[in-house]
Amino acid sequence: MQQAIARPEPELRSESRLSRRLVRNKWLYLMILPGLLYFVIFKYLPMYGLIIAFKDYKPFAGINGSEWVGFKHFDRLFTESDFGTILTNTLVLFGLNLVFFFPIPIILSLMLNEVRLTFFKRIFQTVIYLPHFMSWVIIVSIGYVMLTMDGGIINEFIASLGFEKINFLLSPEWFRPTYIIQVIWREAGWGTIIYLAAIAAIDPQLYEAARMDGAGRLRQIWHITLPAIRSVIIVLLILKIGDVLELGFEHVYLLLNSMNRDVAEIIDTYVYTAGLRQGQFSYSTAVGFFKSLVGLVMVMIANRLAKKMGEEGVY
Amino acid sequence: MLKRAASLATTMVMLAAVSLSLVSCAAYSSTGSAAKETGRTVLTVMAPLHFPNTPDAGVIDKLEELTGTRLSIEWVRDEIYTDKMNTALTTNSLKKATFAKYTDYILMKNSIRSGAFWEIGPYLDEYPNLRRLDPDILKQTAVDGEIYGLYTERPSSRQGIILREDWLENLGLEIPKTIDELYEVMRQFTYGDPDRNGKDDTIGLTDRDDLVFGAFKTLSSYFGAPNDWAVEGRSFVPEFETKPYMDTMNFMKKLYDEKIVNPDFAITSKDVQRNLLIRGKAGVYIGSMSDAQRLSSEAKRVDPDARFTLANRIEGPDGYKVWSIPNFNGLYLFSKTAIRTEEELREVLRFFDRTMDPDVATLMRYGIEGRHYELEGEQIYLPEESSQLRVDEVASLYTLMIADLSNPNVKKVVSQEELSELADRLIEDNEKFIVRSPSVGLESPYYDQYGAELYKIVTDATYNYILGGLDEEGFRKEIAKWRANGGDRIISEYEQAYFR
Repeated sequence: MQQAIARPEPELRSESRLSRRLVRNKWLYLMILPGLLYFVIFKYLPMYGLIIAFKDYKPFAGINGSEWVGFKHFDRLFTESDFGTILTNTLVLFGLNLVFFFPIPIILSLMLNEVRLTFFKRIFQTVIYLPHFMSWVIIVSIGYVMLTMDGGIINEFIASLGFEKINFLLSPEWFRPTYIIQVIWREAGWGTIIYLAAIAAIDPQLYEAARMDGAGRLRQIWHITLPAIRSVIIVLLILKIGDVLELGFEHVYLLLNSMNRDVAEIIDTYVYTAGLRQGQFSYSTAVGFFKSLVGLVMVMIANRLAKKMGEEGVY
Repeated sequence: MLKRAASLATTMVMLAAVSLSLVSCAAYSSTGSAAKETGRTVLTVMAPLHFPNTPDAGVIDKLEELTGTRLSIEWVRDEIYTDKMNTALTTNSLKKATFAKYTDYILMKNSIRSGAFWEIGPYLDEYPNLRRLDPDILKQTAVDGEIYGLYTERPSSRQGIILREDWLENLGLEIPKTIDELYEVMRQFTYGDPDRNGKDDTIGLTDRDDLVFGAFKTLSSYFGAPNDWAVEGRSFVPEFETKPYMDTMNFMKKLYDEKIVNPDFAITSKDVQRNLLIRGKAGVYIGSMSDAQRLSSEAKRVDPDARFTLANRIEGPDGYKVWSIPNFNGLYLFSKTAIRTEEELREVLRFFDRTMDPDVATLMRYGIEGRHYELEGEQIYLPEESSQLRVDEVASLYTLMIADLSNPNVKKVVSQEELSELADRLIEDNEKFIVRSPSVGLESPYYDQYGAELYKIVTDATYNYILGGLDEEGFRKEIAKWRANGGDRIISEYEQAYFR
């Protein structure tokens, strides 16, 4: 009897087949419901608000009560004299992230994987995760205390070696290095989690076989570990590229000041200082919308490339 | 990006807040006598907190009792007030009465024009105290000729110099009277070992990342700069195109190059700035003289020998000058989302009217008799011993007082702490050589919308010039950029309004 219900009947219309499947797997569907709700409420419904990019939004008048203005805000963005600088800054920081930050968790997890003492490995892992749980405010403050000209450790050290103190915090040249070092410090450890999980899933027989063939540690890493986590690396890379313009508003905003604005103003901070603080909600939305579009295009390009190279991609 | 979810979340937060306030009301009424509680209106307020503590519950209880209200005040630290207020504005979650600083008022004007706040002008005559508000000041606060807010008053200019008296004595120096003397004092504070500890560990001036309320604008007054705008013939000239402004930048540049000012001042917060003075690292603080008493008592905890004095008359090329704020320091605005009916609005206004009566005004200004002050005849005596208590329990309430300077119901003080008294005297003295901003009360819609964003160009250029990132040529280029991006339009709008 149960067999008969479970067997799909080909002549049934797809609609009723769907409803039958729903009934049969109701518990599973119920379980994904919270996730679906999350996406609907927090990701899809808010998209309705995007229409204010094409309106002159006034909070009191509400979204529907505000006037339509077409592409006015986009026009303003593209003709803004600083637009080029802001876009360049954003892309440069993204590039730095990709080049300097992205490989570090991979290298770290390979190194961690080679550590023999489990005890030491655990301790080390925990220690490098820790900074991730500190907010940017704390990290930037620590940076401030270390880098300030006014008795900061690093500057005191430089001075004690007989060199001129360096104004790290107020010079445009030092903004990018400071930024990327802080990103690495905070996120590198946390980034290793997924790679370590992928490495743990590799069949130990492969290593045994390799050792039988006389492969050393480096050879094993090169021919077994790296190829095994290749797809994970690619997926994370694509996701990272999708986040092109998510450079951490808080972080950059905290580092931003009058002296380094020429290199430090990115789209996010611009949205905040020029848009939200000034009450120009529609303009901010237009800028944010533009940013998301760039992100979407980048993901599609990266995904296509990944598929061309024979990898799976994210969709 | 503004999200629909945000409004949903706000609704939920508001629901939570409402239920919370219900709960707290319930809690209150169970402690007080239930009969008295019924019918009291709940008044929600958002106000900035300038002191470490919110007012004492005892004082608030008394205030509620006297005014017949239930107060639910959201105290927001002054440093983040603008952001908080903006968020509340965006999410339509303003309180019944929301404080707007005069510096943020331009942000509010757009919302006021879109009808987010009650126009209160027609109601004022119904109230014995509110009807006596200064019509001139009300006019300055008006938007398109209509009155939306109740103003708080501050002295026109509290700007002056706070400096270490004991350091002056150690070095055999006098209180500076000219810009050159001021420079000499700061230089010697840096290089003359004023604290006599044999170490080169002091600086002259402590400053922060604020060109207006930090040292810069006050110094520029001494150099003879106009306040915001100079009116020359039939045109408006922005202060940063004047020679005194350039002189001030050069002066600051000299201080920076000679390491007389804290090198990170362009990114120094007010807390850090104050700390440099309190810890005895810096000897001169240029800003609001009213801060002197608190700075001094905090510094005495670090170094019991620290003594401070004040200076307000610094002679520059044009004699004595000091810039002033408008006659109002901020406004209470009344949100239409929080106040639904005229009836409710009247109740809120009644509260503010009541705060100007003698009993309530005394409570808000000085606290509770016997605990925070003593009465000497009709005047207030503030004992030195309860000074800390007043700061901790009462001082923050001052923000809620509207139009207190011109209110005859506020009792006078017989005597108070030495520094406070000196500060009050010098603040009064400032009135004699005040430089007002010609744009107060004028309207420039373009300035309201883009002014602050444009001003960023000027701020950045000024800091860059001082720190050596720009030369004079470069600075002028930035100013030209300001003009091209909309400055010219602001100027012409102001000119039209001024010469109308």
